[in-house]
Formats: sequence, structure tokens, C-alpha cells
Amino acid sequence: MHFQDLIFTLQDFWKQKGCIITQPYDMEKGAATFSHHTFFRSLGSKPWNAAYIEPCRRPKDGRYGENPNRFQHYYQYQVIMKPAPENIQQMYLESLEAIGIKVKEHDIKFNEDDWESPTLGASGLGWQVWLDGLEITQFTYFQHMAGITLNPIAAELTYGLERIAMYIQGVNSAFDIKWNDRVTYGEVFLENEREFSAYNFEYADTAMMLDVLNKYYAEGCRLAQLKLPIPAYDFVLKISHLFNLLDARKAISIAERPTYIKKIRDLAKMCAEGYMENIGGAAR
Amino acid sequence: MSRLLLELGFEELPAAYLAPAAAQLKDDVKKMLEEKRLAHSEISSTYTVRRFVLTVDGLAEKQADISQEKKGPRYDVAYRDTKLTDIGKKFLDSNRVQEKDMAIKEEKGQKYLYVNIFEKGKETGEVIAAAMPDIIKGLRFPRVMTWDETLVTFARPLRWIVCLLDGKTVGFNYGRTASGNETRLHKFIHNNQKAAVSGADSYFELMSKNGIQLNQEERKKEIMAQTEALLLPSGLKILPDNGLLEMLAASVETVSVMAGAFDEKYLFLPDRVIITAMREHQRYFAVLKNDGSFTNCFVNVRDGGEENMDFVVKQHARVLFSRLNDAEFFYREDLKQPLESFIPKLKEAVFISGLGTMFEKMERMKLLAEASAGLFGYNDPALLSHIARLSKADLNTNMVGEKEYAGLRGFMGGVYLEKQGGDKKTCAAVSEHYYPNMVGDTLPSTTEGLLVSMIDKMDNLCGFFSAGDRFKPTGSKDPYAVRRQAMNIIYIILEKKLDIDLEKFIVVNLDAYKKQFGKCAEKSEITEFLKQREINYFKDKGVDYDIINAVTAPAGLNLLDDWAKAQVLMDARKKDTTDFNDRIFALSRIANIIPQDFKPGAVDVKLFEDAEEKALYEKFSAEQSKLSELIKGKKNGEAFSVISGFKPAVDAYFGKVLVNAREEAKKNNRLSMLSQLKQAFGAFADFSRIVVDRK
Repeated sequence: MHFQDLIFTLQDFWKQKGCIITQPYDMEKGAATFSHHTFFRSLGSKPWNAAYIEPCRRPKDGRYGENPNRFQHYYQYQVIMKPAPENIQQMYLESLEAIGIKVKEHDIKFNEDDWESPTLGASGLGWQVWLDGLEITQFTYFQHMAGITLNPIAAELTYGLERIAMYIQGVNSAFDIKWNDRVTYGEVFLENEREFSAYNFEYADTAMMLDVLNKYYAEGCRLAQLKLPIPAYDFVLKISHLFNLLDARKAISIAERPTYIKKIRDLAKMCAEGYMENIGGAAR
Repeated sequence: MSRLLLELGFEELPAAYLAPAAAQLKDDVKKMLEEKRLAHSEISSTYTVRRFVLTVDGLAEKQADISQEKKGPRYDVAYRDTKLTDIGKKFLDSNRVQEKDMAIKEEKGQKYLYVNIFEKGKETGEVIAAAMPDIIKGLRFPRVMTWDETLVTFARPLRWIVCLLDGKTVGFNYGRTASGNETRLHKFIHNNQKAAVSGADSYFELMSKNGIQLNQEERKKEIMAQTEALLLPSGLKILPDNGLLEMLAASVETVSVMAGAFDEKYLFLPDRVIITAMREHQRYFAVLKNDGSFTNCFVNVRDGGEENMDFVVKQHARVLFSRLNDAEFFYREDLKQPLESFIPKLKEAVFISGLGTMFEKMERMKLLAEASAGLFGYNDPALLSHIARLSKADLNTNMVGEKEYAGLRGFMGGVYLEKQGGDKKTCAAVSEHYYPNMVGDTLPSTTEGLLVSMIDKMDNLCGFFSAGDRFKPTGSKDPYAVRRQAMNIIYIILEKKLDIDLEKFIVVNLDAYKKQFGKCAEKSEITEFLKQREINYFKDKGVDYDIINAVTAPAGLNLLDDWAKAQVLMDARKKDTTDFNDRIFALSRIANIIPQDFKPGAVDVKLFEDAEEKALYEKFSAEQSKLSELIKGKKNGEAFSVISGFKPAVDAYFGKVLVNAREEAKKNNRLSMLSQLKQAFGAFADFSRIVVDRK
């Protein structure tokens, strides 16, 4: 199965299960959880079923394209269903069947994982799903988002697309994944990895970044106070990515880390509370 | 007689949650049945990763009826002007008794309302249905969650409940989940298919027919049996690992063991690196040859049948390959530079917030090592300082810096030093200086390792106390495991009989903090904390509490001495309890008769009247200096036999002498004499704290 067919199949599968198929949010983020489709929509009582592919950036994980398993840019396939269907685990296993992984022919394990995102003030309980020893999905029942206790509870499924594609295609490097029968993942992303790794680790202007980080934070706070939590949240995404970049450049000492993380979390909390107010469901 | 079957079905629970909760379920159901007056015989519970199963045998068909008299409020409270007050009405209403049916009885001159209540026993099913939701809710897990709008909690979503009393459904709800007679078969093999059961027998038969093993011990046996069948013919065996076995058995409902191999070229990596990659990350057993040598094989357990096994094993090997590939990269990178070149990077790692970096910690450890001649009587402080300097360097290596291999700290430092030509003593000490992790663990094998370990732990202890209240343990909370640091120090000292001046050690360590940060904890805080841990340590080792109190009563920290004395007293008590009691009773009479505020003066032998009095004092005068020599020389067995040898003389004394004589001078003289004895014996232990049961 080609990389693009893997995505098409998942899109089709979750469409059949009643999810709207949305598109990625157009800003840098470290994980699909940061997308509006998950962050805001896990809040409040209104049902929400969505699936989307989300490009993610983790500057620190770049390896100049030299490591077959590590990259600063990759894809997650995200499913978020609220309230969590009673048979969500079965649905997930069916989705594996849909992409050609016959459950009975493999060693599948749901290994406990207490998920937590300190920057979003979010946490949940669930599993890492292992396929023949390989972690392919993070499966989480959200309990808190931006410090708010959730009800109803959303189930979040996050598929690691490159890993799954490598597994299905039997290749040892993500860059050898066949996107279709002519183009490889490496042709699309190898140069991207090299240049961004150089930027992330060597050339990023840390002074400029620290400067804008503080300005973005102030702007985010201002917007949140103006009861514009959705635009304010753009600045959560911006400063979160800047923080990750600064971290990759080792420009933030271990001692300072918690201070920055708290800033992002606090702003995310203001956004979430503002959003709850605007949609008419006050935070519990 | 009825039989109850309860099955709670849930999405995969963490392996470590299962056994305690299954045991609690059994206890709580038993408690409930007793409270509800439901007779029963055997109760048993078992579990898999997705179910708790409980059966109760010989269960009564209904509750016993009760009929009893119940006492109410006082008459003058229940009535005013012969009319019922609100209080009186409430009592009658709540017991559903009419005014005409109650009685008034007198008791110690007061009149009270009495009613007869009769409660008809309810049907067993009804009682259980009412009690079960609370029992489920009460199961304790390290973390719980909610999953539906009813907000009921459990460690993972509870998806089905089977509750049958002789085949009849006992109906109740937990959240949106209603009990019934339908269980689920295996999640993968049978697509989680529903299946109705008609009672406990039919349930167990169904499970067994479908290969679901409900018993943890059976699963463990099965894993071991299949492993042996796979490995034995090739002369191989697994590296025994009970923790992993327990975890794997608690992660599956069916057992299929597989064995695979990784590329032999990785065998150049230290065994512990490979074991970590296999155990911590992949949950694989390591495999040894029968002669104990390490191999490139691994063993894993699969849940859900054996289809496609060759492919599955190859996939596991591939995952392991990429893990070992990473490890090889870290290892080779780390060896490109001497271990000591990682030391400056310690400046980037926070030790305890507010107390600087790991680099500063390393400097304190060096300082203590340099003082080791004076502190511990160690003869090569320069070597110890060298070891202390290198001890934390591996924290910044690629391998240990990586989260998954963080547990190899110390060990990797030792490996790298050895590869780079470090001397044996240094390598071993760096490698083992985190040992012991807890009381009972293996200790460092060299003197240098022991001393650096102790210095490291003392520095942690002093650090947490110096950093502020939020790091100190309170009640059941000890997030920084400060108590464990202290317990480990005590464990090292007592196991290795290290005769060191702990108080001096603490002072030097605290001074080092003071120099670096201008602040440090009070010495007394640390010594009192250690004393309390000493008491706990003795308790854990089975020393009787009263003997602990007696030997730890003298001021200061004298771990070795206290321990030896405790052993002497425990042995004496065990050997002949009556004799021990008699002797201690005699000794405690001395302490008990002296008033707390008594100020002893000089003893005047001329004021003695009785022969017994003179005899006791003569014996004491003759043996006093010998006793104090014995105590100073830590000859505790002999010291105790000298002290307890006073028993006949003391008995004779109290048999004859009236201590509290009418004449003040005589009385004071006697008390002064006894005070001398008390003080001399008290240097060994406070005998008055020992509980004597004399029948």
C-alpha cells in the first residue's frame, strides 16, 4: 500500500464511521492535538467527530535526513470522537484491517500509557498500541484540556503514519517509503530534512526568536482578554513552536524551561476558558 | 445454597493494577456479605488484562431476618406536656412505629423510648444488586478516569458486567453499563464476540474452551513451559526475570511464546544495554546459553493465537534491530571522547531547584571524599576524590542522556572508563555508586563504591532538607523519596559495619552547602530524621518496639552500637523470656523510683543501714569501671551480662531497704546511690522503656 493510499484508506474508513474529514490547521505545531479540531473541540458538551492528517514539527528530532527513523517534520493521522463511542477500540482494530493489517495475523498489544501535555495542560489515560513490537498509535481518553475537566470525554487516536507505512511496505528507512509507484517519501522530504535540521540546530536566530516570543505572548494575552480566544490561540501555537526551536538550539536552560512551559499553558488556559464562555458552556 | 458469578469486563488495565484490585474485590465482597447478613462459604477472585472474575459459593438465598429492640431519645426530650416533640416524632417515623406500639423503659432513673423493630431479610440478589456499584466504585487504582456522561470512575472504561446468581441475572448498573448474562470472548481471536452464559460453571467452561486463561499463576506456568519447549532443545534458557514474567502474564488472555534473534554483531554492546533495550522497551526476555553466556536471542509473549508467527517474530526482530542500532550509535559517539570531557556539561543540569547544578553537587562530593580520612578512616582520599569527580559524568553521555537508557547511569560511566583504561577500583566504584536503590538491594562491591554511594546519598538528604519545606517528606507523602535516601545510608552502615561519626559527616556536608549557597539545613533536623529512620529500620528488621525505644534513647546517632545492643537484648529475651523479664524488671525498679526532678548528690556510705544496701553499693563500686570500659569498648554482650548480673543484689535491696525513708538525708543518699546505678546502666540502654510482662 502506497503512502498516499494509506491516507486515503484511513480517510475513507473514518468517513464511514461518521467523522467529518477536515484539513490541517495552517500553522506549525508539535502534534495533532494542538490543532483546533482537537484542542477546542474536546471542550464543551457538543458532539464532535473528526479525522484529519496533520503535519507536525519537532525541531529537536531532526537528524539531517541521516537517521531512518527520526525527522523534524512528519505526519500524524488524527481521529477525535466525542463522546467516545462504546466500541471505539473495535473501530480502531477495524481501521487496521482496512489498511491491510489483519488483527489475527499479528501481535497487537494495548500497553498502558498515561498521556500528558504540560504545555497544553492536558492529560488522559489510554495506551500505546503496539503492532508486532512497534508502537503505531497513541490511544487516549482525554480527561483534561487546558486544565479544564472534560465531560463528555473524547477519544483521540493518533496514528504514526510513517511508521505504519514502513511496516506495511517492509522498508527500513522512512525515506524509502513509496508515496506512489514512482515517488518516494525521501524525494519529497529528504532535502527538507537537511535544510530544516541545519536551520533548527545551527542558524535559527535565537535573539530574534526570544524577542518575538515575548511579543507573541503579549499579543495572545491581549486577544484573550478581548474575548477572541480563537485568534489568541494562534499565538499559543506560535510561541509553542518558537519554544521548540529555541530548545533545539539549546537557548533555553533547564532551569528556565518550566517558566516557558507555564507561559504557554497559561495562555492556552485563557483561550480554552474564553472559548467555553463564548460557546455558552462555562468551565467547570 | 446459591452460587454467585461476577465478571467485570474492561478495556486493557495496566498490568500492575490487576492483582491488588482483584484481591480488594474479594475482600470487599466478603465484607459486604457479612455486613448484610448473607451466609456464604468460599469466595475467590481472579483476573486477566481485561476482566476481574469473582465467585461466591454456598451463598444463602436470603438475608437473615432481624428483630431487635431499639433505644430512642430520653422521655423528657421526646415529650413535652405529654405530647410528642419533633424529636420524638422523628424517632418513631424513622423506625416506622406507631406511638401506641412503643414502650417506655426506665434506666438509671431516666425514662427512654423503646421500639421493637423487625426487618425482614431481603432476597440475596436484591441485596447484591444494591451493593455492587459501590464495591466497583471503591476499587482502588493508582489513577482512575471517566468515560461516559455519568462520570463513574474506573482505571479504564468498564464495558460489560456479568452478574449471575444461579443463572439468574442480578441487575444493576455501573455508569451506562448494565449487568447481564453476556460475557465477551477473546478480543482478537473472536473479535470480542458476545456470548451468553448460564452460570459460573458454564462461564468457566466457555472460557477454558476458548483458550482464555483466567489465572495468573497458570499463565505464568504456561509461559515458562512454552519457553522451555522452544529453548531447551537448543541448549538455551531465559535470563530469569520475575518482574517481567509477572507483567507479561498480566498483559495477555492467551499465551503464545515466540523466540527470535537479532544480528549477532550487536553482542559487542554491554549485556545490560541489550537487556535494557529488550526488557524496558520491548518487554522481551534475554536468552542465555546453558553455561550462562549471553546470546542474540529474545523471547516474547503474544496474545491471540499463532497465525503468521514467523512473520511476527521477524517484525519484532526488526524493531529490536532499530533500537540496538540507536544504542550502538550512542555508544560509539560516547567513546569518541574521554568520559571526563562530559564533566563541564554537568553545569547545565539542575540538581535540586534552588541548589545549583549537578556540577556543584559533584564538587561537594569531591570535598567530602577529600575529607574521607578523617570522616571514615579511609586511607586514599585522593583516589576517592578522583572517583567522586567522575561519578556523575555519564549523565551527559548520549546513552544515559537518552530517556530510555537513563537507568544505566553509573553503569555506563564504569563501562566507558574501563574502555578508556581507567583503573579497576575507579571503574567499579563509578559503576556501582548508585547501589543500593533500596534496603535489601545489592551493595557496591568495593570500599570506594560504598563510600561514594554514602556520600552521594547523604548529599541528597542534606540537599532536600536545605532546599526548603516543599522537598521534605510529610505524612504519607515523600515525592522526592527523601526517606529512602536515609534508609539506604543506614542500610550501608549496618550491613557493612562502618564505624563512622555520622554527625561529623552531616556537619561537613552541610558546611559545603553553606559555602556554595549561603544556606543549609539545621544539623539537628537531619540527625532527628535519621534517628526516626533508624527506628523504622530496626522495626522492619523485626526488633521489638520496646527494645528499639530502650537502645535508641541515649542521645546522638550510634547506629552500629544501637543495633548490637538491640541484638543482645533480643537474644536474651528469646533465650529465656522469664529470666529476661525478671532482670529487666529489677533494673527498671531503679529508674522508676527516682523522681524525675531529683538532683543526686555525693553518696555517703556512712548513712547506709542495711546489709543489702551496702552489698549493692559495694558490687557497683567494684564493677563500675569495668562496665564503663565494656560499654566504651562496644563489648555489648558482656556489658549486658554485667548489668543484668545486678538482679539478685537489686532484688535483695528492694526487698529490704525502704528507699523513701522518713529522714531526708537517708532518703536522698539512697536516691543518689540509685542514680549512680541508673546513669551507669543507662549508658547501655534505657531499661525502663522495656515492657515487662510478669505473670
